[in-house]
Amino acid sequence: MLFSSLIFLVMFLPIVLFGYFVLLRKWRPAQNVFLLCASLVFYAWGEPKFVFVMIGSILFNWMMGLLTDRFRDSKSAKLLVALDVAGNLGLLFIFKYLTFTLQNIKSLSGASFDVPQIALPIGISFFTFQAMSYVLDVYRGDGEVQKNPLYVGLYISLFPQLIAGPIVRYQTVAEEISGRKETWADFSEGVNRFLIGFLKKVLLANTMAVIADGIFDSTEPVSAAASWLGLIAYTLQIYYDFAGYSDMGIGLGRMFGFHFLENFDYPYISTSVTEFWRRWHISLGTWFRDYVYIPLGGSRVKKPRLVLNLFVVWLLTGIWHGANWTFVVWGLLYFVLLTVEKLTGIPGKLRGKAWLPVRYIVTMAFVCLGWLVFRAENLSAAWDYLRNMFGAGAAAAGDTFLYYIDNYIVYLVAAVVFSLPAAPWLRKKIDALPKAPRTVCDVLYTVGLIALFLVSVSFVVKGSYNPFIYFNF
Amino acid sequence: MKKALSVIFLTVLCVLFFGTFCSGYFTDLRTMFSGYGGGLKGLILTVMEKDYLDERLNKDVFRHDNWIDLYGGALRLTGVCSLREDDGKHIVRTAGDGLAFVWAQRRPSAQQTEWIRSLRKAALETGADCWYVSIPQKTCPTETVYCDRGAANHSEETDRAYAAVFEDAGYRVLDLHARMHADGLRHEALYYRTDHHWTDSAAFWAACVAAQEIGLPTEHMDPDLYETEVFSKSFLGSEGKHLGRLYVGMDDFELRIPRFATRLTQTSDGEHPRAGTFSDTLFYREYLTRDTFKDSMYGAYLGGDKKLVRIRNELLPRGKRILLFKDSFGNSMASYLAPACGQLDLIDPRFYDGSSVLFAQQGKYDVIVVATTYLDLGKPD
Repeated sequence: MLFSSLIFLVMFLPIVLFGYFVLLRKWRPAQNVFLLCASLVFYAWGEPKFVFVMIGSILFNWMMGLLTDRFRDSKSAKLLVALDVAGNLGLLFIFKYLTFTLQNIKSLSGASFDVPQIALPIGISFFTFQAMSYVLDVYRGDGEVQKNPLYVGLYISLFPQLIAGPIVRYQTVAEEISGRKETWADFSEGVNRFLIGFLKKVLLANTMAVIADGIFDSTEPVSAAASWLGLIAYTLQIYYDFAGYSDMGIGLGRMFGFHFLENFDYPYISTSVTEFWRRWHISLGTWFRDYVYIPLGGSRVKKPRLVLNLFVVWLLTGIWHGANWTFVVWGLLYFVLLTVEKLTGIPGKLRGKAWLPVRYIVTMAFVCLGWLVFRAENLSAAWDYLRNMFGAGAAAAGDTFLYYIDNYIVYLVAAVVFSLPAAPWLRKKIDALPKAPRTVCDVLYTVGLIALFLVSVSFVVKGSYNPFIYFNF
Repeated sequence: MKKALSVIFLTVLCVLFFGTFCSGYFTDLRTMFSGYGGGLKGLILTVMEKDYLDERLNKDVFRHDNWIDLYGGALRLTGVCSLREDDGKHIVRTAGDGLAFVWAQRRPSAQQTEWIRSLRKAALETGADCWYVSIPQKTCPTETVYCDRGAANHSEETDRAYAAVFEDAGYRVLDLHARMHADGLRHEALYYRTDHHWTDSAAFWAACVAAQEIGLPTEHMDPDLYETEVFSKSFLGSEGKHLGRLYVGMDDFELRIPRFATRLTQTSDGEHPRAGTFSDTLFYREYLTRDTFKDSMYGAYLGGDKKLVRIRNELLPRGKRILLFKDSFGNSMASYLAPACGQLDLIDPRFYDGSSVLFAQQGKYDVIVVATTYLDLGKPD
């Protein structure tokens, strides 16, 4: 089920809110069980069979958590953690990478065998990483072991962050699973956040998707201008798609009293690739930093080891996103860029306001190049697209560029503006106003947000284009 | 203020939830549950896998039509002038504030050419005159300005290509384009703004021109002999339904009722024969009050699309026998042509499942007229 679907908005959410806040009010264990059941229904929607994969993962990690806690001070603890990691990664490998691996073995060896086509359980990369985080945090003493399997289930499957994150670390919500406090202020903040995410997803991400998919998937040659437009639209699409979904997840969590950490912080204002990754998919970045990069030695090691550490982290980051060579190359592109930045210290050396535009343009150029590889079906398609952007492609038929500009210019401008910190800037200005005009602004904000929400719902009712990039990650 | 926001949000959710249940969703669920015999487990799996609930919800959601209106209004406000639907339909707004489907350039297929020739051959054998009515499309590159500069307009090339095939096969071609220009009409004016069907006055005009050219009596083709009923701002055509009532508004719908005496019968498959005056026989008034989004007022002409319709004019029993190949927009023209014919048979090639050529051969018609759009032309026999 998607947050930006009618079934979620009209049926699932009202029922869950009613059950949680009205029927089971002030009865925490029942509320938790109810949330777990709701999360499993949410997950099972569309492909019920994969709910068993989820339940298996919950039971396995609950058991491994108990064992790890019990043998924490003995030598077996490391072995248990290794077993847990192997189990989780094994599950991920079977569903996500086995087909890809066999396809590559087949094409390299020339052997003849049937490659099984294995369907991918939704959000498997997210929930396996969360599950590993549970056992690792228990092992490191960063979180209390959870004896109740239902609560481990709730942590792993909690619907606000289930399908597309943010990847919630166990230590972040360990106490809130049984000891959270729902407040009206938190609920209101959650609603506000959910609505903002909903608008980002439905009005901006989906509209950018129309442009990006229309151009990237075009069977006719497209002009260089249209290719540029397609890549810019995809750059905006993936941001709003994922950041919007994260906002909705964080907002929904907040409604139920969970405080998830931020996942995005205006990544498209970054002036270095290092900064970009501090602002983009923060939960994944910190997961790899804390569970892979730092255990490998982090950056306080000799240069060759640093390079190796970065290589491992970015190879894994690339592969985490999908079983395709494009993701590997995308990850390695960042390995190269970040290694260069770390070893040469270039961004730090180019201080001063005069350098900012240069740094910004170079960073965004690399980010966009990365998204081009990320979006392409394969590396050859990425290369062809890149050539087309510089006019080396076939002559274009029709004017795709004009079509998209004529139709979506308002959405494009809005997408660019809101990818910059325009809203916090405006908020700051409003907060500095005297009370009366500030109240007027607040009323206008509330009315505007509700109006835009209703418009977004109308887009969902119409069944307009509603893809979700991170759905299968 | 955020508390007020959450109160409004919860209110919206409540209204949507209860409103949707009351507006048919509950009935759908009940039907689904009562009709399923595969046990609870099977039911759960079916419901979840088939996305049944999602699909129904999009149709049953509380105030569905108003949501579409809001959607269209938002698109209009943000300058979206073209819509590409998942089913491949491409709708574009014109500078005249009309909506038009954009079609790719078409050339007559081998199958269509073959059908055109076979029909001509059959007509030759029975001695029937064979006409092709080349119908002006809603848009024309020399006349229409699309708000979306990326949309191409191939209507003229397509029209010429099809007319050439009919001419080659020996049909007499009634080129309504030429008559349209001679009569000072414009392409878009022939059609409803929100629809791809032509207006009542255009249908009447086309019937007059066709009657003249084919050699039918034209004494009833005087506009003054008809009274026009206008249903103000009440028609939302096929294109309009995709975008709602706030995008370009609604059309006035018109019907012409003869002031002269008429006595007709109409028979069609699966329906009781209708007999009486022109209005009683050919107009289905129930379509005028049906749901704007779910039904089309255009169904008022002849009750909408049927595979085969026979209209007899009891006041002109020796009048010409005409066979007209038409699709939905032809229903209006056919209605006004009927008082000038002895018998008018209508075949809709989209739905007719027999051999239309054989039907034409056996019917002893005086005139066979093909007046369908390119999409619906020439199904294999």
